[in-house]
Amino acid sequence: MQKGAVPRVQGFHDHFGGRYQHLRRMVDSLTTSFDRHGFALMEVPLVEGLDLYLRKNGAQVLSRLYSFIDPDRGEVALRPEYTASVIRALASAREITDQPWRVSYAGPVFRNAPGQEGESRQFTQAGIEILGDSSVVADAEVLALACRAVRDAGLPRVRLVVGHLGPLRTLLAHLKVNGQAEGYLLEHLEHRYRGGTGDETVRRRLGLQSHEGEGLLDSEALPEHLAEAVRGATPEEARVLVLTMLDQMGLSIEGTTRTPDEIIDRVLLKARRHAALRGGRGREDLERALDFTEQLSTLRGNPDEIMPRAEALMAHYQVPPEALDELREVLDLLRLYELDGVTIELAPGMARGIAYYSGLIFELYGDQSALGQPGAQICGGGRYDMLASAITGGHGFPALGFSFNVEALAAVVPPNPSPSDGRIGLIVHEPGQRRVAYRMANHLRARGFPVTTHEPGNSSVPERHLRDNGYAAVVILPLPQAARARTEILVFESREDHARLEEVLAIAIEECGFPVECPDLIVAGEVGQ
Amino acid sequence: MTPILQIAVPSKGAMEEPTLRFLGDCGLKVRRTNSRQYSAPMGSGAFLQAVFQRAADIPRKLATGLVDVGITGFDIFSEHMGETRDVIVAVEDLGFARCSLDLAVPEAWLDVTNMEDLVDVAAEFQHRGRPLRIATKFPRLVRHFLLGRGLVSHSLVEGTGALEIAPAMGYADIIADISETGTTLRANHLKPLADGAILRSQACLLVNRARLASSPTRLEALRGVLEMIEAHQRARELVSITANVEGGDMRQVAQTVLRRRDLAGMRGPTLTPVFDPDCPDRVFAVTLVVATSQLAEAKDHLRACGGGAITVQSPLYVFERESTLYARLREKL
Repeated sequence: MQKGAVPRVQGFHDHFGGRYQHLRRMVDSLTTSFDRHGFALMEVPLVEGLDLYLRKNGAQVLSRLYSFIDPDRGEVALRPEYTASVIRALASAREITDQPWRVSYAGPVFRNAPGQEGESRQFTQAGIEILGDSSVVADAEVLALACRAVRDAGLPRVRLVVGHLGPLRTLLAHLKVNGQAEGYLLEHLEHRYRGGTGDETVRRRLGLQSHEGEGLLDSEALPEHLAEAVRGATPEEARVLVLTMLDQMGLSIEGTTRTPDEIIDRVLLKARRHAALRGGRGREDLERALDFTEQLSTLRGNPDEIMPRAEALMAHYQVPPEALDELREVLDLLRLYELDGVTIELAPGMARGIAYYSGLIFELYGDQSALGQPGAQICGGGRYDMLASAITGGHGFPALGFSFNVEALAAVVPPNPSPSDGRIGLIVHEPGQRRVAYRMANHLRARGFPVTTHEPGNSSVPERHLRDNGYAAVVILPLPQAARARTEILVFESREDHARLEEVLAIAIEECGFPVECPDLIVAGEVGQ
Repeated sequence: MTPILQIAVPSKGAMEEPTLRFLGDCGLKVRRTNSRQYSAPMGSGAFLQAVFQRAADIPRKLATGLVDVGITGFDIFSEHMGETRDVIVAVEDLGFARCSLDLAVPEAWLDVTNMEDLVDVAAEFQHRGRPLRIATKFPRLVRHFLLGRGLVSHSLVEGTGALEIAPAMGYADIIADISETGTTLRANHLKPLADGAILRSQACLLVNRARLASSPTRLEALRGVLEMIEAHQRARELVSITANVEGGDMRQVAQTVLRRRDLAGMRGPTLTPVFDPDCPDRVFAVTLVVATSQLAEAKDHLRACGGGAITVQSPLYVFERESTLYARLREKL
């Protein structure tokens, strides 16, 4: 057996002291903001069936899941985020009616980081969801709430980057590009938007380029003779052809978990796609969609400047201009919220990774332009109207929301400058004072003061020790045999509102029946000297 | 005497026989007197001990520090890699037990030849209400691969034994399994996907980093093992050719041979006088050590230099000034 101390698990951290208080304050501040806006706090399990996340998340999150086997349920995972669970919980809790649900959450989430030693694997998310509201008004409400919450948490300036999947999705619907190809294009949009280069991957995936980089088509896509044979045949003829060919190859199409019809249908689908891509409209449409994606990914900046450029781009690719209506409307609504300190950037080319986003998407960054830095992302979210039906397996409802990465937020919000945490130390010099001390401590706690009792023993200057540990004040009980039986209060000067604290503390102690003496204010350096 | 270094050796599986042969070839013969022994001395001294373990258990035994060194498949190591940082690879290519971990689908799935097809089919399964099921003994590697290729909707069926039968029996749709040649796949009407190779593997030597870093004695014992493995591997790549060459004097012969620097041995030819009574002081035995792949060329070169009676030998071991494998391991510790 190994001896010595048991080490911490890589990627997980202990939190205490001022930094942890700062983090807690961020969580409290966010949940208080959410609460004031009518969002009810809820909690979901730390562990969910793995299939829940498989239905919702992209590979980026899934490859970082902490999963393990539960003897009853099979594959389960620690939650990597909240949204999937919130939707699962609420969809089964009750019918989403015409009245939208507003909920909030805050807690730890887990993402494994194989091979990356320094990276945190547990962090805190705090966020909200609105379920059952498909209106643009709700879009704007969510954006405004994110900005308000971050301001209330103590960050005066933020950069809000707003995008919308409307333009690309509209064009793809118009060109009848769907299914896998739509996913590939969205992924490519994200890749380009985040500064990635090259388009070989997407061209290959779309079948516009073969694996070898030559020729038009992936020669592996279908047995060549099969593609040739079924071209121009009616579905029935093609079916007979396929079965005959299999028979000649000595293969049976039975005995697998797919039916012969499913296999043949897809063979025919591929053959048709094959033929279309070989030079027909399918190819042109995909090229056009890809061009549009490339152009869109470069648009980012001031809304007044970007909106006309987006409109021109839409016109050029003959995308119905209404595709931008929602985005325009959200920006107009946002003005009514009179948000201060928010720089809005428009980015119609943002995609945010997950294929489930259907409309509005946004990200919030700490604005550190004054420091010459781009600022870290602290929050992200959007609308995912298709997600609920994917999770519930049928019954769907509109949904939107956001989540803050609380550690990222805490890193950009300056910690509360007050060095004191407001604790009051009650000093008990000898055992005979204990009963009185405990009574007084409880009395003060009931009035909202955080109080600890101290028995300094031989330590001659307990006041200094407490001051150095961030206490706001000490209360010294009179010695039972002392001539003047008055309680002494010392409030440290480091506390900004020391005068007021001294006053309320004195009143509280006197109300409890203890006469109080307040010497002049103790200047920090003087204690115990 | 207690052994200094314990080396886990695969037993009761396909890897046992080639591993024992390999160790024997490296001069590290496992001296097992009967096949039921769980451990046996190894090599010539008493400081190395072979401990027999199932190949699949070896990374875990290493992680817990029960053994210091182990030989197993790179596939097995990769599957368990996430469990500890203390187990590292000291030699990644021992040169035997080569195989690959491949995704394979029923041959009857005419429409599925690559990963993009599989992603489409997985979406069809999901649409019909259940995910694509994949039978495998390597859940981590397979999941990582699938997610990296965008195949998100799937469930893994962990199995042991012959997985090839799973699709026909209906408890999985496709498989991800190890094969050496693909024969078993074909016999079970399965075909690998063109871009479905998850991992190429061969036997590798693993060590427990902490156990070695903490003990200079163990490390020194391991250096001996690595030296033998390296010398054996190098020896396989080199041959020694000797020819009798007639010429003016030793320097002249050497210069003729050195005209092809690339075929003139590792540092240069070795010349030894041959006392030919008919031709005194004019015949030299020229010995070159060259890459096995250069043998034919070197032979022609020696002939062109006037050589005859050419003999070729394989060295048993080739030791360099210092061990590269050991130096690389020291860096990783």
